[in-house]
Parts: sequence; C-alpha cells; structure tokens
Amino acid sequence: MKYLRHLAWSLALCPAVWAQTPAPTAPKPATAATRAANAEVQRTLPFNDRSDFEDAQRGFIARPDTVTIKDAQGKVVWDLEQYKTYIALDKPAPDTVNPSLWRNAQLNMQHGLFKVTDGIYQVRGYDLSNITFVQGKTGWIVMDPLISAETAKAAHELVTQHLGRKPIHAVVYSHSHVDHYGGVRGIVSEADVKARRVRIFAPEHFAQHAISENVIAGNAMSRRAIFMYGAMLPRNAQGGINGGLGQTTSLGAAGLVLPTDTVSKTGQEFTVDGVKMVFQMTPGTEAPAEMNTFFPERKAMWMAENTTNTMHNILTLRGAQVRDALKWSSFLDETIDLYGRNTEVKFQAHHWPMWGNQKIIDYWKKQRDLYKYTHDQSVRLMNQGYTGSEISEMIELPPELGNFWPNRGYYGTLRHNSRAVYQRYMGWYDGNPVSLNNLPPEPAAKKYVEYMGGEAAVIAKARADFDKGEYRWVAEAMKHVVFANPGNREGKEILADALEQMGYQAESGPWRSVYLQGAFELRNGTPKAGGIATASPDTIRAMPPEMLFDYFGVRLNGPKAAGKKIALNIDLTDLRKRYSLVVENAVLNQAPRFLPQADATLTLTKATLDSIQLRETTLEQAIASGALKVQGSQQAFTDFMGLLDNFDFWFNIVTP
Amino acid sequence: MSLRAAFHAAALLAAAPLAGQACGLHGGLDGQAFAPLHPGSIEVALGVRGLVDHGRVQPLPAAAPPLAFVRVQRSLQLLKARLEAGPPGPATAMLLVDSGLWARWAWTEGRLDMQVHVAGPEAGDRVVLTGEPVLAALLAQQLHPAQAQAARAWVVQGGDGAAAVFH
Repeated sequence: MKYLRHLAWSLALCPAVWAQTPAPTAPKPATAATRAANAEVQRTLPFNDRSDFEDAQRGFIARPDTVTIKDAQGKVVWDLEQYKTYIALDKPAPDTVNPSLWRNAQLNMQHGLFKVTDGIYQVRGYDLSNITFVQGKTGWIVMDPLISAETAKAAHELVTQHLGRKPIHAVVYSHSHVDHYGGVRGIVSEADVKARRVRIFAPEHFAQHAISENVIAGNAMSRRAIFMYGAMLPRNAQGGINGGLGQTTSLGAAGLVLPTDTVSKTGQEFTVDGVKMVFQMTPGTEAPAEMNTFFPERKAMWMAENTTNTMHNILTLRGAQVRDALKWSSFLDETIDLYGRNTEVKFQAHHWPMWGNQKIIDYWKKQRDLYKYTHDQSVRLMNQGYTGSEISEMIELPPELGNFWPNRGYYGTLRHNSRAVYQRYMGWYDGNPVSLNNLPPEPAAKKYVEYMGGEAAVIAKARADFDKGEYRWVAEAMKHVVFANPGNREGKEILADALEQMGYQAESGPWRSVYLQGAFELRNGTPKAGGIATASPDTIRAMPPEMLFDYFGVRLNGPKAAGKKIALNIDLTDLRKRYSLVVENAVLNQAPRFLPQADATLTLTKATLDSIQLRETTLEQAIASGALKVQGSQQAFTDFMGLLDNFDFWFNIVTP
Repeated sequence: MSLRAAFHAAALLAAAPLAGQACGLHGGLDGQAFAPLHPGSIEVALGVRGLVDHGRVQPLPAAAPPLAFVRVQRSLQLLKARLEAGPPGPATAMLLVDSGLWARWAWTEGRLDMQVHVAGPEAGDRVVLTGEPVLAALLAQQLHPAQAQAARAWVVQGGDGAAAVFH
C-alpha cells in the first residue's frame, strides 16, 4: 500500500489535479461596537504592569533570525515568520483583536533559548509548548519534548549550538498530552531507550491515558478542534492570533516512546546524572496523569501544565470529560505546602517562568484560588437554583484574582469553566421540565421563525440589533433562521457577521478561533478536506486490541445490526492472544477468548491490524496478500464489516 | 486507502494546515479505516485470495512501489490491447482491490481511451472488481473468465460478466 501513497503524492504535485476552489469570502472590519469593547479592555486592565514582559525576556541567550522548521520532505511544520509579520512588541493591538489577547500573543512571541536558572534552559516559541533542558554532570535531562520530532530536534540543535554538545540521559514527560511527549523521537532514539542509555520518566498511568484519551469520541473531538484551535484560519489580524497556551501547534511527526520509569508517589525522588528530581503527583488535574518536578539543588519548580500564565480549561471546547477544579486547586495548595518555602523559580511547559519566592507564592495562591473560586462560586449559585447558563453570566472573579494577568482567560474562560462545574455535578439537564424532551434544533428553529413572523421579519430585527452591537442575541436569533432554512444566504451572512465581531472581541484564543471558524464556515460552507489529525502510528501500535475493538463497537450501526447475530474469533498471532467479537442485540461485545462455535475465524497479526487502522494498507490488500486469513463463513465476515459505520470528519456544525 | 481517497487526501492535506493537537488532543482514530474500498470489494479480495490459496493463480511477487506500478500499467496496457481488438462496449471502471487502483476506459468515436489513477467510476459506468494476480492470469489465459467469476474474484457490477471484457 505504500506505493499508493507514493502515487497519491505524485498526483498531488500535478497541477491538473488540483481542485479549483473559490477564494474564501474576506473577513470584515471591526464595527464601532467592537472597537468600543476592545477600547474598554484597554482602559480597564493593568497594561502598565510590564513584569510579564520582563520575565518573558529574562535569561535570553539566542534566537535565530527566522524560525521556520521543515520536515524531511520540505513541508513546513512550524513557522513563526507568518506571525512576525503582524505581531510584535511595538505593534499596538489592531481593532480586530482583544488587547488582552494581543498582549498574550506578544508575550508568546518572545522565542528562542533562555536561561531559567543555573543549569536549566528553555527553548520557547518552537511549538505550542516549551522544551526544557536541565544540565547534569555530563549531559541533559529534557522536560516535555514538544509535539513534533522536527521541532524538538530544532530546539535541541539550538541548545547544542549555544551550550555545547552533550548527551541526553533522561526525558521527563510531565503528562499524557501530546504536546508534552510527541517530539521525543527528535531528540532520542528508541534503541537508546530500550538499552537504558536514556531513561524516560512519566507519571503513573501515563501510557494508558496518552493512548486512550481521544479514542472513542475522537472523530467528533477532532472536528470540533478545528474550531477550537483555528488551524485553518488565516494568519493575520483578522484571523489566528494566539492559541492561549502558545501560538499554535506544530504539524510534524508526533511519536511516542514508552516510559522506562514510572513515578507513582508524591515525594518520590530520582537522581539522574547528578540531578535530583522530586516529584509531586497531580492526577486528575489538567490531565488524568500528570506530575510536577522539583529540583531542590536549583530551588526550581517545574509546574508541568498545572499552572501556566493563563486560566486553564475545566472543560475544553473541543469536547472532553470535565476536569475537577476542586482537585486541581487542592494539588496547587499542596505544591505551596511542600515546595513553596524552597522555590525561587517556577517554570512550566507553556509560557514564561517566574522568579522570586514571594512572587511565586502569590502567583500559586492566585492560581489555586482561581480554580477554587470557580468551583465554589459555581456550586454556590447552583445550590441557589441557578443553571449553568445563568451561573456563567453571573459569576465574576474578584479584582484580586481577575486583574491578575496570569489568571486571565486566554485558554479557559470563567464563562465556560463555570458551566463545566455545573456539568460535572448536574449534567446536561438544567432541571426545567421544558428542557427534558425539547425539540432538536431544526424543528425548533422552524417554529421559532414561524412564531417570530418569518425569516424576513427576523432578519430585519437582527440587522437593527447588529447595528446596536448586540451580537450575542443576533447570533442566537439568526441560528434559528439558519437552522430553519440553511439556504437563506442573508441569514447566514448576518450570523457570520455577528460571530466574527464576537471573535474580534474575545479575550480567549480558543473563543476567538471558534467564532471566526464559525463565520468562515457560514460564509464558505463546511470544508471538505484537509485539517484532519489522527492518532500517530506510535499511538496506534501501543494501543491494546481491546481498545480498537471498543472503537469497532461505537462504529457498529445499531439499527442495521438489529436482528443479526455474528460471532467472529480473532487470532492475533504475534501477540499470541485470542479474542472473540459477537454482534447480538445490536451491540458488539468482545471477550479475550475464542468461542467454540464462531461463524468465522480471522487470523492476523496485531501489526496488520494496526496497519489497516493506520491506512497503510487496506482490508482488501491484507486479505489478498494472505496477511489476514478468514476461515469459516466469509459471508459472516463481510456482513460484520458491512455493519461498521464510517465517520465523516467534516460534519456540519453551524448549519444543520 | 483507496486511490481516490489517497489522492484527495494528499492533495488537500498539502493545501490546508492540519488540525491542532494541543493539550489533550492527540487526534482520534481514523473513522474510515476498515471500510471497504467499494461495495463488494471485500468479497472480491476473499475470492482473489481463494484462487491463490488453491493454486489457480500465482501470487505476484512483492515489489517496490514504482515497480509495482509499472507492472500494473503493463497489465492494463495488455488489457487495453485486448479490448481494442473487440467491439466497443460500455464505459467501465475497474478496481484492483489489492492495490486500490482504479482504471477507467471508454469508447469515443470508435477509439478506446483508458485512464489509470482515476478517482473511481463515473455515473453510469459498469464497474469491474478484481485483483492484480487474477487480471494477470486472465490476460495470460491461465484462468478462464468464468472461473474467475465463479470464485467471486471477478465481479461485474452494472453489466455482463467477465466475458463482457474478455471476449
């Protein structure tokens, strides 16, 4: 099947086969209402406090003139140059950008190699996350090697160029998210890890979560991630500005080399190459498997992603299980208790470090209390009978938390985090019987529009409200027009205009992206291709068969499977493991054993199974080549495969 | 991945940036893996394998991608010559299920045009599903079309059987 890929790429280079797509509709300028809203942000937030800018540039060693990183095929996987054309310290916020978000982008653009403290260096601005090099007696310990092998390698080369060539003795994965381990193959080889020449430390259950977190609902999450991360937005002042945690994500090869050393207890110590590391376990905070690392000899605390210079997400907009704000807060309290006295510098996997014990303690307390306040006040209001949407509107941070720059909502927001707290405790139902069995969007929209006097009447009123800057309401009303009649071009245009202005006003990078992507899709239609990120080959190969079979279960088309009974045995010869899959009662069950009377037996290797999942080969090729053998009823096998749905990535979101 | 899917994915991925894989999102599993290339293609793959297992056709040796492609092209050129020797027939798209390669031929004013690497059948096309070793065996007259059809290693959708191609 590799030759198919070869052919496909050859064809992609042929101009004749390029699809002719119309140029997207141009974005519109900021309205007077948006300019006023952004000016109010400029007026009310403490922009005179420049300490973050000092910290973001402190310890600067070097940066190349340009940062454009390419893969082996010459494809650009990371490019700061596009951002440099419109984001700089001396450029004021454009009127299409919330000044607070602009400030965050200016800070995130401070890139290069920096000294954090004696023996600790960071490369920032080479990916969404930072990569950190801790100097041992003879070499490096690397913390969180970015997303892509290419960016990690480039960062390592920058370190080598300025600090000398040294071997890497260990890598620490702070947690189970890909921007904290995906680039590992760019700095160490799997052979060195297997030979224990390089150790990899990770928190308990790291691999399980790294592999599983996005499996079952991955298609829907990935489609929504297009909105959240704004990867398809143009790079200019009317498009992508900043992802909140960093500029954006790199597009190179993400891999996974499994850890050699598991950390399971707070206070657990390891010394590598003369560097003592003390770990604080923080499971169930920002990630299900996460840990901080204290370097006592350097009085330096690595905060993983538990504190960054933004409010983080209790629930990400792409979709995820709700995080526990209370637990998060509690672990930060423990950080202060265990390591506060001895910390002189704190640094983490995103954003810039902070120096000075008092300042750090104050920061930790404010981050701790940010999540505690969000939790407690959301629950207080919930217990007074308010619903998620009401709480979201009512809750406000006190000035001591809200005006603290690292607590601003560049990634998470108080609005959606408070709703997440409600969701964690109460779920989707707001308690109002009307909401229990309400009409879905399309039929409801038709009735709304009918009751409101028809599409033309709604549009006329929406235009008037748009002119008054009431974009949230205009969006709400026009959603009904669009869902009642997606062919109403004028309705889609007004809705797009409203979302666009909301994007221009958003302080959160993901909120801006969500709104602008929504406007883009209303104006230009749902994209047809591109932009799809699927699990890396390393992740698939590390995935246990049970997980893949669970995924088959959610691909099974229930109505189609009704009344059918199919039993398949599966012999994975390289693993020496046998399974059975049974379709019955329109569900797929699996068991780790053969059934005595299966309809058919499939014999293959896990490698072949992975290869098909990775689309390196097809099911047909595996069968025709003999890599997948089917004994027994071939009809049962083909019937089974025919029951699996394909998930279309580009489902509609802003239109029915 | 079918040639069609591979082609479109490659072209468009080259044109658009990939989705972000930021904190917590690693990219899900491909929701279209394990899908048949075309309705009936799995049955045909099983049929092709059955003929190989029973020694009725010889498996083709593994080859590097460019050589494999040259080999397929050679077979298709032979097929074209065979078709040109016969009377004109309906427009036909052929899927070689083991490589996912689509070829298509049509008669225009008495002239046969054959294209390799097409995205798939066009509306109204007759569709042939088979495998490369079966095609090779048929062209070499080591296998009778009726045998291929009986083994479900040659399936014609929307038209007559193997004889419609191999006159």
